Amino acid sequence: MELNLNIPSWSDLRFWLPEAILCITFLVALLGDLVVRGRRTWVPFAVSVAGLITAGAYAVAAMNHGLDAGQFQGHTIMGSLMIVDGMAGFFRLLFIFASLVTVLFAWTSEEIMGKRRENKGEFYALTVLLTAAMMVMAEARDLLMLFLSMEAVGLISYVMAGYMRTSLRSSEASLKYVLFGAVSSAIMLYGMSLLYGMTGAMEFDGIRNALISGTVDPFALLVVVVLILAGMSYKIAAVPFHYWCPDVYEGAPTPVSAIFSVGPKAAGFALMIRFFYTTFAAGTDAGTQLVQDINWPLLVAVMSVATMTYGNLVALRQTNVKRMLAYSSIAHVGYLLMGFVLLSSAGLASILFYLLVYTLMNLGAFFYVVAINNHLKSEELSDYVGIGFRAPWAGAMMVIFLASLTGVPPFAGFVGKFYLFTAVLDKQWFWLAIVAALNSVVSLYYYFKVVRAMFLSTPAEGTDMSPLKLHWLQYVVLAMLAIPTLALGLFFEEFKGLADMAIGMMGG
Amino acid sequence: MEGFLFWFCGSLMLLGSLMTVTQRSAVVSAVWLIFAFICAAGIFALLNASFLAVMQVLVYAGAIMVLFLFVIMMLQGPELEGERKLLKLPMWPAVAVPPMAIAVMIVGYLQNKGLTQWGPDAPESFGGPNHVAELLLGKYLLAFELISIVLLVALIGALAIGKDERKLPWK
Repeated sequence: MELNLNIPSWSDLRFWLPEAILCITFLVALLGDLVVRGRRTWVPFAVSVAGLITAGAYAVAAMNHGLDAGQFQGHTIMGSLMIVDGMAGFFRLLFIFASLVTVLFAWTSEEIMGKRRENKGEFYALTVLLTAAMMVMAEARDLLMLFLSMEAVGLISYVMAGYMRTSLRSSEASLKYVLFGAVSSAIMLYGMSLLYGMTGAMEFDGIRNALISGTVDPFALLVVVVLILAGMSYKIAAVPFHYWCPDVYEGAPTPVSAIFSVGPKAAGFALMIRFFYTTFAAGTDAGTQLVQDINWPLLVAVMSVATMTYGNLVALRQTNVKRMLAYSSIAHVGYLLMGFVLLSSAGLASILFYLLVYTLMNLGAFFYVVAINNHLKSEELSDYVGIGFRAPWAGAMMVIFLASLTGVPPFAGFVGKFYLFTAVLDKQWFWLAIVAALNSVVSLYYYFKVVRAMFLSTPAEGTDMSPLKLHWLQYVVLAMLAIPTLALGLFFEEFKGLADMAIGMMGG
Repeated sequence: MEGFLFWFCGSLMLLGSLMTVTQRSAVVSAVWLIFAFICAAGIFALLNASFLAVMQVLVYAGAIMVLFLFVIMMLQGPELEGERKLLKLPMWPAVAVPPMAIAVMIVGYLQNKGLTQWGPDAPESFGGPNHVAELLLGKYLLAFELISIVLLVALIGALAIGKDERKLPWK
């Protein structure tokens, strides 16, 4: 009996430093919380911020190094389980930024910290670990890793959604999330097991090679595509797997909803891009071919139209700002899916760029809701009447976020949509572009309903119009999001270039 | 013969899982789940993966189910207000997809019985302790570590949500 242990080289792990740092930060934040329990609530917060900044610095350095070297086709980590390439580098930065601003903002949120600012160390620790898990999602190139990272993100999300234990709504959100998550994981796992059974491979390129050699039953393969697509659409909340989304976003603490609406969604897109573009599409930019003639792009295109139309139409009727933002995030997933069906690197790059823009503006809009919720204890649109004048600076920034979400020039959202539409028209999906354009017009109505309530409606007699005092950190974080939202609308070349490079440097 | 045993174990496993989800009593469900696990062990055994079959019985049908039963015993579940609403949600896509897929696979099999083997042959020592150890501590070491993180999160999450019961709204 001799074991043939083929342990992959540990030295690969140096490319995985940001993730490792975040995992260690998670443990230190938890332990620190235990050591100082009840006294210094800032310890886990500070540890998390420090860990995120350090990991971010390493991620930036790795990205720079990769760009300088000219070829960032990727380093595989410990065998073929994961790959750190240009795309993974891009998403790493995105996730770290999103988590950092969320952690900063959560520090000022009464929903997270409680009235008496009792100890909430786990929240910060879990956010840090969520970041690491999302990064693994963007790096996975093996079915096992794909599933495990999705489960890790899912489990952390369930806990975070139910974080306000004293709120029934929050518990309900968490429970719904768990149930829907379990069902969709099961569906996806079934598809994955069939795929493994057909190809005998777990790593994406092995699956592709088996599929190209063409010994599989095309019909069974179609079933596999549908099942796996179902599991992934759940993660990004695309119709018809979106039911959990509005309830969870409404019930969860608002800072948690904020990171849910960008982080796991972006990670889901990263995973979909890597999975479908390495296993079910062969070849590079000019001549991307569908493997086995499975027309998944058409399937996704139909989903995309359904998603954006449903999201926008239902958002029209919402009276709760948080719930409206949830539906708006569903609609944005619809726009993003357009880039996914094009089989061109321009389409993928515009997804990445749009995700960056979307992260900025959507986090901003949610954070404004957090800041207002601290004072009003409400997210109802009717309570927002006149709120713009009570905190004018924050109100102005909220208008920027909403205008950008609509896609009005000169804000970043416009540039993002512009690139997406150009890519769609390039590939001559005219009907898709037309539906999306109509949808953008519809979205104008409900975003500006909020603006109207904030600034234009006349408050009823006797409404409290005293100025609201927002925490200084809230102004800092909102500005951190609003300034890039403005700047990216004017100086977008650099970042679009980064997205192009990230896709260009996507390793197989 | 092997084919017959596969369908025997497989259909019994389906029965077991169906009974697990349709039974009203949690304890009865758990017992049916043990039944399904043992059928799964039978399928592992048919694949010559004797080690996995034994582990399936020991770990899942044994240890994990004991834990399940303990939890069921200790949890006198509180009635949540939203509980009824949860079932009314239009969950049709989630509910309809798996049975449809299973039906499709069975029809496909019946139409073309040659499709019993889709993939390449399994290696010689497939499913033995050596093979499992090689994969677990070699190729999939990092995945193995990721599982430990997932479990840690589950533990911490259970504690974070479950602690200090006095303040809960339904108490």
